[in-house]
Amino acid sequence: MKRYIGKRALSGLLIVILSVCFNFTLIRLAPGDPIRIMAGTDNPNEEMIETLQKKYGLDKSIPEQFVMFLGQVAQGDLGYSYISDESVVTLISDKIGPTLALSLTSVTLAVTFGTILGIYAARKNGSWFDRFVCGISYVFDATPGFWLGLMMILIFASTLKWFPTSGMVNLRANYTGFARFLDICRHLVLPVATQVLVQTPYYFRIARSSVLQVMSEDFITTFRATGMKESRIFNKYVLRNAIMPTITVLGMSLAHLLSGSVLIETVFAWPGMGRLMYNSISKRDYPVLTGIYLVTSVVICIAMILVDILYGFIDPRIRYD
Amino acid sequence: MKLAKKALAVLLAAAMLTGCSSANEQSGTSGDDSSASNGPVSGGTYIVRQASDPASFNPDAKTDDMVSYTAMNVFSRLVKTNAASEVIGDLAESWEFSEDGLTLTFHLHDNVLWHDGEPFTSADVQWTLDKIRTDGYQSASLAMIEEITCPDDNTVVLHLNAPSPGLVSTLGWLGVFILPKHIYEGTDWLTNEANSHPIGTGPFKFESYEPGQAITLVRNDDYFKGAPYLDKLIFTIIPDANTAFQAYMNGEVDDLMLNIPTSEIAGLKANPEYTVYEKASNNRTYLTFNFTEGPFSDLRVRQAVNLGINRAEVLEKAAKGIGAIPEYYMSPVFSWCMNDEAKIPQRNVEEARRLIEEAGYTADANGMYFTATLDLFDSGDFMDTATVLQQNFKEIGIDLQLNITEIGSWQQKVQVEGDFEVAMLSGSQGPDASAIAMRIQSDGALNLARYSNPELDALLDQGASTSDQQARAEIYRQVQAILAQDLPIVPVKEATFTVAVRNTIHGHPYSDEAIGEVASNEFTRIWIEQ
Repeated sequence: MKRYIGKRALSGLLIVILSVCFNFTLIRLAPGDPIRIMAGTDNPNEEMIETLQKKYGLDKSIPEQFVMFLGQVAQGDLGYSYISDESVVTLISDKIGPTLALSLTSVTLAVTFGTILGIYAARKNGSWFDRFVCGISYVFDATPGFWLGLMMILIFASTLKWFPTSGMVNLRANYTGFARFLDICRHLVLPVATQVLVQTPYYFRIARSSVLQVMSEDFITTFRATGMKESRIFNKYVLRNAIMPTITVLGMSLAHLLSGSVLIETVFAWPGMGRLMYNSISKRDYPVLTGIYLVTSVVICIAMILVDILYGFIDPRIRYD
Repeated sequence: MKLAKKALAVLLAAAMLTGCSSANEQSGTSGDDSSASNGPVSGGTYIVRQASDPASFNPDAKTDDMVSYTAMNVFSRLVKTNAASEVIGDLAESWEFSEDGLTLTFHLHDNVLWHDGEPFTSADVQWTLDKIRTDGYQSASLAMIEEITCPDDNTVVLHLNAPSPGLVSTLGWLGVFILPKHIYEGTDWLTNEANSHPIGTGPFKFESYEPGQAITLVRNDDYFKGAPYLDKLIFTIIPDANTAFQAYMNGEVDDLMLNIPTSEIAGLKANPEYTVYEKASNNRTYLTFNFTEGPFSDLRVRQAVNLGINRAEVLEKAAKGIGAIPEYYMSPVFSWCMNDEAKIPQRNVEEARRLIEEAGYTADANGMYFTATLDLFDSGDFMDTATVLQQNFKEIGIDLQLNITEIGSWQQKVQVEGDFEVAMLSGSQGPDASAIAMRIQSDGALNLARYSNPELDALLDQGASTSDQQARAEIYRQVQAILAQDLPIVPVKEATFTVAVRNTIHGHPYSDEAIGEVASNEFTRIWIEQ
């Protein structure tokens, strides 16, 4: 087991390095220059643009810039934003809390609802309930999160006035302590509900189809032939086999926990990582982007290793030696 | 599938209903003006929306629109520009040019304190302007300054190498906020700690900044022009314009400033609870052309475009009536120098087609002479404007393709490589009339056309360094005559500054009550009716 983890960690490291190299080059190949974008189209100052390009090493070739970057990373430094001169580590760590609050809550709820509904719908395959939930899930699956978010605001904030429109705290009230926590929860409701509505169908369909697939396997028919009780077949044999795809998908979505959702964060003015990434892309703030990609790829690798280990616990056929 | 459709229809209908009712609700009751006569009251929190985070609270080092609200309320300048584009005193009580126009003297206010309690003096002004001249993004705009001297603590003298009547406007613009010498001197001004906790001399003191959420300022009781009424001024960061508008209608945000969705302005104008202010803006949208190669390097084709575009339609359909139809080749805010003999001609499609034929093109079966591409980036009403223009171009026989990218790619293709046929751009034409040089002079940073006319270059240099207003006006009239002749730029639309203010809010920078006293984004005179 230990040897397996060590091996996976090593290959994970390789994947992280490769993906950072790839991202580093790719974003710099896209047309556009961070300093020129910053200078804008109202009153650009050519002399200034040149000075700053030199200062940040943007006049050098991509391989040269990459060597400079590796030197920084070796010292545990992810560099400084071209736009704000703020440390990339600070910029990213500021956003981790709000992003996790939003994405972790949403994913937990979406996986729970989706899986339970999926299993139940599969069990009642073809029933009124199954058809109804399937229909709804197609609707929300096809609904853009951005639009749904705006509709949630129109209905629950503007018309019913149950929840605040956007943001993370009530700026006028200036709560502290537990009241602040409750305030944040209130602000979380609409973005989380939007995320859950968009994500649940995904987990629903995976759970439903894998349960249906396992139920049509030969060994289940054999159990039935032995006269085993349907509930025992379902709980003991079907569920255990059907849960695997959900875990795989969950592992992959762990990556998005940190990178956040650009659209939902934008609609609800939630101060998360998605917005940081979007802004950094549109301003070509390379150091910040490289930092985000690095963090994201590390998280994905760890999540993948965890998922593989989890398989071993659930499925006795999988053993790592 | 049927079920899905029904559900969607219900959702849509609900959305439409709520969309309408949220706007109507506000117009039901009209504002009560009775307490307005009781005069200003102190207190309260005022929340203004801004679209994204400021990069830094050093407002002079790098170009950043998002720092301007904070900068205008935390810092002061020598002079400031108000919402009517007029220059009014700030740290300077008065100023005068010498007879020869080579010295500009500013007399500063007494008893000005920095927010940390240190006294402000002319040395701060000298240090800041010297720093901006070498490292600031406005360095090029201050290039005519040769030396800055401080005869005493309350006087600053700028010695110029040529008369520069536009300098005062520049000093009231962005990127020229006076910074505390005692904090910045001898440090790297890009990484100084004060960049995250600014110390200024302005009406509000910086309190806190939560990235992605809000910037909070509090009243400066020692403000040299009298403390503001508000306890707190908060700039809340809401990226999406639709969300911001909902937050505004729900009362979570008090002010959207210039970022009210154009489609909502008519509704606010009709709503008795709001007052809508409109001020002429020096920002305009225009087309420019590749002068080096391609069909538009032929003057006749550019003339055809100038005659063919339907500016009224752009204003009505793309800008929803917010703005104005351009009549002159320079921005009409410089009304003192408009040339009535070189006005933009009336639309004439037949004449436009004749000019294109004269340029050697023959129409195909569909009446099209040739195909061209318009390069633009997604900003404001650019996309809608381009769609209208596409139709206009079709009428004069040019099949216009749109190449819509984001600004970074656009800059690389159009600005750096000059690889385009027609490009669309908008931007401030100020603060001074001389700023047009940047867009049309041979070495201008935004001369996308690579247009070069030595006669015009000489006139523009002359215009920038002539003190006599009448002589200056004559120069810029000649500039317009040349622009009308060569057409390096074809104006499409004039912008208007439009803000809507709830009637319970008084002393808004766009209101008559405060416009003479405060900068365009300064909230010193705001008070909230209880």
